[in-house]
Amino acid sequence: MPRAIIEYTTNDAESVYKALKIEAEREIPRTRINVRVEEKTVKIEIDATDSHALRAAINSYMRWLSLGEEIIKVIGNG
Amino acid sequence: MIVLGIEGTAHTAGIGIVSEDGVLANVMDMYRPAEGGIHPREAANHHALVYPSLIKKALEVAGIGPEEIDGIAFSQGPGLGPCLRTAATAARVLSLKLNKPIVGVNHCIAHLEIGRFTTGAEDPVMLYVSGGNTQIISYAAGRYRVFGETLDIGIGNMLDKLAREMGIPFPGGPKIEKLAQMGEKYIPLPYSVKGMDIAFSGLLTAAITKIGKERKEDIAYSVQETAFSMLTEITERALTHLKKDEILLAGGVARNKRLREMVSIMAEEREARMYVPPDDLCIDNGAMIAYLGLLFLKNGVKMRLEDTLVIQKFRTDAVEIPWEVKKHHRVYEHAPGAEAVIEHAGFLNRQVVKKIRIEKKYRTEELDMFLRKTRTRKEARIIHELKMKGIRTPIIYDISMDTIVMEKIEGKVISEIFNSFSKSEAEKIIRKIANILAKLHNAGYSHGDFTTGNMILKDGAIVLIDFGMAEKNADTENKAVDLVMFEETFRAAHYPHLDILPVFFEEYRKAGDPRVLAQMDEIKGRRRYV
Repeated sequence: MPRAIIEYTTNDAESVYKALKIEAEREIPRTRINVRVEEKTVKIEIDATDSHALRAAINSYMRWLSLGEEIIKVIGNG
Repeated sequence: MIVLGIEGTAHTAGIGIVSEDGVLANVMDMYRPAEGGIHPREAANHHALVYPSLIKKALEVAGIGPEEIDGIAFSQGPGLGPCLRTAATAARVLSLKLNKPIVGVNHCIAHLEIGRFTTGAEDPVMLYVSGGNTQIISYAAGRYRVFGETLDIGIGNMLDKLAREMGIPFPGGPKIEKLAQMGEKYIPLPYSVKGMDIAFSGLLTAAITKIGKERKEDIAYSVQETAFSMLTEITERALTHLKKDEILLAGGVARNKRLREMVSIMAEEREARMYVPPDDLCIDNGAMIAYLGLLFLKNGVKMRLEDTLVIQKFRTDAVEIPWEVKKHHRVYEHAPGAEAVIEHAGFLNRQVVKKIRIEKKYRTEELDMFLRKTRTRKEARIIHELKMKGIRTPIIYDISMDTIVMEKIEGKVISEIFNSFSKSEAEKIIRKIANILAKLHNAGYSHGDFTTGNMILKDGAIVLIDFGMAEKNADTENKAVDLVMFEETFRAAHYPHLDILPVFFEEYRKAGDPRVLAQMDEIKGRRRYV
């Protein structure tokens, strides 16, 4: 079974983790996602039944990670 | 209170900022596929890329800093999964970082509430027409409810598909509108209204076969005239059914001038008022999401982060509305009929009812004459045939081009007395209704407008009236629509007796065709957001 791990280190790890965790906990066909936070690192583990599903999931989470990062830049760290 | 709203159900990424006083900012960016239709993941990618800069721009336009925002709202559904999840993720990040409350809202209700906020409409029937959505929504008993909708594709998608077949790129709707203005000849096309529901796929298929044989302008014109007449007709039916006199247009297709013209003529003819929000609040936008969020937050609705999961098939009537929707003052005692006027008269010493199909100026003369004539003739024939098959219907005395003279049934209309029934009375009646419908279906007919408003209780027996939408040689689909319509209007009109609705289906299952019930589930699955 293909597997990918994304480790994303940021000062806003806690917020990013909370924003992503909810969707990750829902059942997705052909994919299992586990999101954790360890200090300043958000760790996303993706297990998929095939490489297509894996790629789709990686793309989704990368998209959301960078969306979160960019939004935090826009509103500053206040 | 200042709320920032994030729209992301389909093509449009939108950010809006509103306060109680008005819209402070409303910026958007639309995903346009290079060719073909929308790809959900591509659209979601687009939205993720543009949200940060749209948020920045919205704050600039509103002239506020992020710390002045009091709450975050987002479109929780209905819509495409990847787009919804992207909007929700953006909202969660904002809410967590700014430490402000978050609220997920229903996209369809947002269209209605921003319309009420900006146009002065109080308790309207909303005709919501966009790419994927074609619905008639209005308020009843604490919720917004869907009273009619497309049974297959949305009007916008239909126009886009037609345009694509003609070689016109997405979005094709506005170009179809331009072509239609140069149309000269009306080509008859399938006209499909089933009660307050409509279907477009037959019309689309027929129109596509005309490409190459007829002028593009005439095809566009005929498609618009037919489809918009259908939309105007179901809007008028909903006004009659709900006894309301305000119409609100919403959605991208509501920008079409011919549709606006037709609805406004219909409104004028029945002394109703039509309202249309400004263009940028009519299409999908962030301001409407922000405004609906503001209403919820002001009314003390709180959402935990775990409540913010997106809902792809978010039903309009799943949302309880905690604020008051003021009933419009001029509520009709007897609302004008949607397609016919009923006159009471004497005929050969009897009390009779004359059903006269009146001219509708909103549609072309040709379509108008055709619909009135064929419906009158067909209705009279079906009423007569059903009586022969043992179903109680009025006796017919005379028929002309647009008029049926028939027996006046002395009794009570069931919709008006049903809510005051005791549980056991209501059960008894609903069993009778189910059996009559099964009998009608087994004889090969469908009613087409099977609601309690078209049933009269006389001496303990139910007399069916109004066969204007009935079909002979009805297929499983037609019959299933009777069930869907009965269930939906029953839910909207007879909520005190909602618990006995299963009795209706149990009884129908015994007497009717199981394939019709199966088809009903199929229709319900297909008609929501596709």
